[in-house]
Amino acid sequence: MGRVSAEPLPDVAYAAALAALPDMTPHQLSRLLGDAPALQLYERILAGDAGLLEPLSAMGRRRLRNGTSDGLRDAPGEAMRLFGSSSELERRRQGILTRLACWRRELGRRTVEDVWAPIVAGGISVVRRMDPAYPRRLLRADFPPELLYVKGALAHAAVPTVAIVGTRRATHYGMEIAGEMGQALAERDVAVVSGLARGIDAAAHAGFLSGRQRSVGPVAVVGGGVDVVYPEENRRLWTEVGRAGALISEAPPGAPPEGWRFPLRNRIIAALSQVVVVVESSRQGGAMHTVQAADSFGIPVLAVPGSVRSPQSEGTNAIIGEGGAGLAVDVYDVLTALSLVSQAEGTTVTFSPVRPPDAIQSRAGVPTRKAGGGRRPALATDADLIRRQVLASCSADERAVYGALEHTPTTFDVLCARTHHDVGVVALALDHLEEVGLARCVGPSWQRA
Amino acid sequence: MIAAINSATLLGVEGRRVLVEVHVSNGLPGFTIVGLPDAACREARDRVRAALLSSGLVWPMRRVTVNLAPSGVRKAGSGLDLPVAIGLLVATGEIDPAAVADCGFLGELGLDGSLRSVAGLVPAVAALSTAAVVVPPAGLAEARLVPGQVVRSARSLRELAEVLRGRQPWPDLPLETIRPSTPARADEGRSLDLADVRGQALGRRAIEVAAAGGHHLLMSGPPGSGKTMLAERIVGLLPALRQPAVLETCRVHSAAGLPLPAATLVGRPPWRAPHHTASAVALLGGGSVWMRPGEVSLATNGVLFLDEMPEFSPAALEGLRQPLEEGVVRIARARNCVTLPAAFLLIGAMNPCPCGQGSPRRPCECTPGRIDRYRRRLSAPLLDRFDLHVAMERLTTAELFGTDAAESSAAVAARVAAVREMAAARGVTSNAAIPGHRLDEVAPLDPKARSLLQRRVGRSELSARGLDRVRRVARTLADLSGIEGPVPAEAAATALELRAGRRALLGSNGWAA
Repeated sequence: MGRVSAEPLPDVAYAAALAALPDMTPHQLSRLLGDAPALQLYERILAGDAGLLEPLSAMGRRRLRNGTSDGLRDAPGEAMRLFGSSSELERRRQGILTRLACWRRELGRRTVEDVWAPIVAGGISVVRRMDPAYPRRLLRADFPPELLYVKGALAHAAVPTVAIVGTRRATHYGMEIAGEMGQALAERDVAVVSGLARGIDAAAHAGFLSGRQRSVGPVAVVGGGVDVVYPEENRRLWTEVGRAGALISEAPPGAPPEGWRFPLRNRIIAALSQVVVVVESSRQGGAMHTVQAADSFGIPVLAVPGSVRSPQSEGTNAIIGEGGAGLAVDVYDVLTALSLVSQAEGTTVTFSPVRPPDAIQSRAGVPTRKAGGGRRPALATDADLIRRQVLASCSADERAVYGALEHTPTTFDVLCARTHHDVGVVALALDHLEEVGLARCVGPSWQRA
Repeated sequence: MIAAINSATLLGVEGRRVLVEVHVSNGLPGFTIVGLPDAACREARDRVRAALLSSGLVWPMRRVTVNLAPSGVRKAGSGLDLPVAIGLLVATGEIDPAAVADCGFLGELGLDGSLRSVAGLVPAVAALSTAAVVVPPAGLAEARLVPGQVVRSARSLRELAEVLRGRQPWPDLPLETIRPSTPARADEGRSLDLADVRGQALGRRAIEVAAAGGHHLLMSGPPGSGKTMLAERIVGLLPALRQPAVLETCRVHSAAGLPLPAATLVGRPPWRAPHHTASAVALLGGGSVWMRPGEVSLATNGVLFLDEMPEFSPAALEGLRQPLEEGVVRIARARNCVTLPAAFLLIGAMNPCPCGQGSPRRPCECTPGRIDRYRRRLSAPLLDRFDLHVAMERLTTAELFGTDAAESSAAVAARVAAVREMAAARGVTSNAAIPGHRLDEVAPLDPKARSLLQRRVGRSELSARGLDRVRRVARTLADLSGIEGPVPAEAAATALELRAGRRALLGSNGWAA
């Protein structure tokens, strides 16, 4: 290895070089490294020491049997016990030897400096599991990532953190709720963890950035390399999160966002957070992986209820109904859960989880009102009173149109049909209602504001 | 030994004079056509020979050369059969040259000597400046649409030769031998009335405004929301065509070789609804020799309805931009360049997303990426040409049965006609064509309307160009309510709502690149 610089490379440089090997999954890397310095494994691969691949052999067996990767911590010998001396084992061994040869060749072709230099140049830091900077919360994952690639400051993941996750095919409603929640959490210095995918993820972070006042930054755990923007439409958001907070990935830089990485990414999102909030998800959605992971790590999950007609809310409504998640109707539900977690962890919180009496659930202007529940009594809030006053100053036509509006989008035609007014009258009334803040347009439709 | 016969061929929607020169001389028997004939034109030889022989006339066993002058321009089609045959008869001394000197001939010959009609009689006849024009009997009615032309006809070549020899008078052929026309779907066969449309207040208003002001309209909505139903009813709202628009429409239809719809003859505006697999040439016009007018030209003075608009090929759609802007389409090919009329009212229809089911009421399963790709097929410059863009939704059963009976087409058509008159009095073809610099004069805003629009511009919901478009639509709306003075706030608010469909096409989170 003809080193150019005189300065010795840090041990994580070797780890990064190993992680960048072809077909090296995070699981394999973790399994091979154990707690030993990466340099040691690096030299063993170069020496062609076949014995070091024993852990992989066991891993493969278990996965074969379970169809999962749960058995990663099993004793290496278990595979032998299970499968005895079958020829299958021998075939596998051959495969592993081939891979070792491939890795040796690759390490000879692409030196550690070749891997390390672009990482340093790209402003990406690499943190290994035993580093002091490694987020301690991650250790509770049943399989903590061995290496984290970070763009930005990892410290942002250490403050109170809430994950906001959900479907990529979000509705207006979901996007709004995610954005409002992200913003409200930012205003209270709670970091938001998300995956920077389309839909809910992007809306949560966009909301967070618009509400950010102080030092707390957004944390994004992405599926591919931290330098691989995906989806392309989130490029601005991606850059901004990297600058203001932290972009984290288990995948080495340049790794494409392959499908198998996302469930793994979701377990990191869950493990990094103190509370997980699902805004919209179908029953089989990727967000449900995050929920499962959070469940298994003992992290509280909240879900935002949605319309029973919306396929995007099927999953969230179902986990609320099945008791798998608490109800999150606004940011105070999240803050309450967060303060309980913080209490248990013995940390102090800077925000008040108490819902002020005039809090409104959303920009849709619904006063806090729960049918049949003593928890939140029906109150004529200030916002409610103001709205009534404004409405009283409106003309009869405008009041009629307001009466025809709902909290969900209603098309113009329906408003005409309900009020029996002419198109022009309704259009003018809507314009006025929008001006005084009682209505707003959602795409081509209208709803109460 | 030499004869020259006046005739014409077609390029685009214009006739072009062609002088058919026939020279008969001694030499080896043969027949040559020169002057860039196309395949159909060159085949004239065989048709003419058979027609002459079966009419009992003489086919000269001598050397025949036919020149189509000007010889540097390509000639297409079979319309030169008749002049070639007449030229031969003159050149062989069968007919006196004086009998054909100030007469034009157009038509195809059957092998039995019958006269068959050809495409483009209207422009071809219009192009001839001779005292009379002889056309096949089937094209008589069509050719007589051209004002100031004496049009004659005969049933067969034999009869024509007899007339030209002075042995019998011109036959009096009945006019109703016009080619049969198939009823166009929108305006014939059954009466389509706006009263049939339930609900859809905004869509109905949009159709009315489109008809009254000539504003292009884009409707987006799921299948079954009534887009096509509304679009089909617009022809019934438009005022009847007057001269010279009737002639122009006939000329284009004739040039395309299409039967003139009977309705066109009484002045109904044409309605064209090409399928979305139409090629760019089919839509815009073109071809190598003939330069056939496309759908945009056929729809001139009428309506072009493009259903499933994003499914049209991008080349076809982007090609619409020039006609939408200038009212003509300029087709240039290696040998030819023609300008075809294309002043049509464009009605577009599209689904909100590829599966067609997405709506504010019921979110669909399309991925954002797919929806995005689908919508981007309509480019921003093309979308910009639409003054009106309404999002429609399927009505629920309750709405279908619960709505009040709607106004009939006749009532709306009366208002539309009044608004068109008002536009003409302002010196513009329609309100959509009011030039930007005349907006303050023609479409002033009353104070409330001004502040309403200023607010939208201030919130950057409306660009400068968008504002002009809204003001033109608002003018039409005010005209429709009989207000001739400044545009009231109600019209401005409605004009904004009539383009609210655009809002659906904007990105939902401000961070999208």
